[in-house]
Amino acid sequence: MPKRNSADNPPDSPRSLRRSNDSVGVDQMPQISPYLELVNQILADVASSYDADISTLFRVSNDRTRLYLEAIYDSKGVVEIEGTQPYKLEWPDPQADQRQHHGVTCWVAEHGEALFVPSLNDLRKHVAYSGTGAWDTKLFEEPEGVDDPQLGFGCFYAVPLRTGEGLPKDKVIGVFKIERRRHKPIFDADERKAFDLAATSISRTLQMYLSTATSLRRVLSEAAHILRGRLADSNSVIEMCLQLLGQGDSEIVYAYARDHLPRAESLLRTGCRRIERVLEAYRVEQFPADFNLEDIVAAALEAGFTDQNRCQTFWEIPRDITLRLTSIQRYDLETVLLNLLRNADQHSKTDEPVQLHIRASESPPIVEFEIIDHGEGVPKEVVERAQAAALSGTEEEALLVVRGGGTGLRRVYRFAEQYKWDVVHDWPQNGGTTFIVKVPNEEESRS
Amino acid sequence: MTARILVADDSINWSKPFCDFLNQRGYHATSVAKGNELFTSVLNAPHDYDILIMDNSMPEADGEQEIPYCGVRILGMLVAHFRDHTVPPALLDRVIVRSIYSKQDINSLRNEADDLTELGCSQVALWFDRSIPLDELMRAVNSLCTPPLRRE
Repeated sequence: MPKRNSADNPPDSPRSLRRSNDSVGVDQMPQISPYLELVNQILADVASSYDADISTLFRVSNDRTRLYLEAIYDSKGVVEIEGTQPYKLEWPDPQADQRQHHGVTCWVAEHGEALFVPSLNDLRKHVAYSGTGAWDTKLFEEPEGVDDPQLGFGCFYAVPLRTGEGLPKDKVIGVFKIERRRHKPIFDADERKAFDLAATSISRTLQMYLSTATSLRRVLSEAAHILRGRLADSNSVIEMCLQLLGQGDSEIVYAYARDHLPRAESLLRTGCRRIERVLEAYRVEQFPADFNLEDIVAAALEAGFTDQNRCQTFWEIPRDITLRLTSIQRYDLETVLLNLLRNADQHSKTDEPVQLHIRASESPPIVEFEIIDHGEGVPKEVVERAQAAALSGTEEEALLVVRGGGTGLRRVYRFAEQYKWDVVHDWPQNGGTTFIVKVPNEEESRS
Repeated sequence: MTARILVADDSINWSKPFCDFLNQRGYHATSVAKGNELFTSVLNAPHDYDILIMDNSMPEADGEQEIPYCGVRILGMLVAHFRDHTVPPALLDRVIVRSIYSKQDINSLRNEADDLTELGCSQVALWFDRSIPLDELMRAVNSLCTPPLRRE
């Protein structure tokens, strides 16, 4: 990254003055979320490397030199991020011959390409302004309009925030934009390069934000579904105990409590554990962290088996190895493991325990979980249906509608698809089913 | 006369303690955990039960097609099956349905329950909360036993 010599910019130059103002604003910015903190850090780093006027994000309001995230979307609508100016973009009908644009920001989002508008005349002539309504005309009115001889439109640079290659509608999540008044210096090549770089990094950060926000909604919905049942059931058992206690026959109460209270206690305990994990997933630290593998396995075993003797665990690596995951990924990995373990238990003979092997490879760095049952095995059609449903995205509805019928397996494949984990299955000749889950644990996946 | 109650719920964490509780309270309760078990139990012994307490979301499958809200649908199938019988099973007239689904599902369930009422289930009680206080549930059971049960 080029680093300019400070001698290139005398202390009283506009660039130096702007940077001086910027340093005040950084500390005053509200700390909204780790994602926006990271966005700020990206901006600060890029600005520092390129000596670019890039750290004015969210702060300069009276001066028309400003930079902001103007539109953030996901597939279902606008994602509100405090400190940004979100609005919904009506994506054009691909069948339509002509499209009326509603400003340059929308044009950039729809086309998925960066746009530099060097002057007011270019702005007037741009197709993005054709066919716009009265609100646009007002932009040019004096004295505050863009026609102002001193403070009016100088130049404009907008970069789409992309989450990858592909159609803008699917991949563009926002626009990263700067406008300058006439008395401000025009963008130079380095500064434009800096904006492009910052926009790319911010795209990645916001993608993580969107993914986390979506996952959090799912985690809460699932937890609500499961917890309602567990808590209601355990509460009912306690109520029944108390009612029987009211009858006064201690032998009956004792027998009833002996038969049913341990299960109610277990339901409550695992319910509380799940609440803890949901709360943990909701904590601010949504960036990848090192999670102890033994804890993950222990949680999956506890939730997967009423009788943990039903599972033999073989550690082929040290137990204190860590996996770098976000807290949501950790939660979902537990879900993957417990669903495979439950499946294996369900399809195993009663006298043959399920086997769980935990191993790792260094090149490529992968942690591997192998779950083996020696029973009748999971039917092939159930596995195939689960894979197909996970890929087609229809499993959410099924999850909410009815339990059973391979729903757990669908979630396994769905999470594997989402996080690029590898799930391999096999039906060995000596019977049963083998599932192997491979989770990357490399530096690249840690970033 | 002891009321014979069939409890159909896929959560044995609830159904087993509940059946034991009912038995301790002087009822005769048995449980099934799947939709098809409910269907065949009533089909094979239609007059062995007086009251049905069912969860609306029991796992059930019809070939490749999963049946949503299968509890009420299976009830509908039973009602249709026994429509022409001179003495339909008593439990089809005394039903308590528990459901934990969202508002959208509740509307759908309500419509299906209305259909059942039209078909001849005169007493279908819907509960949209799994955590029904035990007192309320037992009041509902007692009210279904009044007037006194009569058997053919």
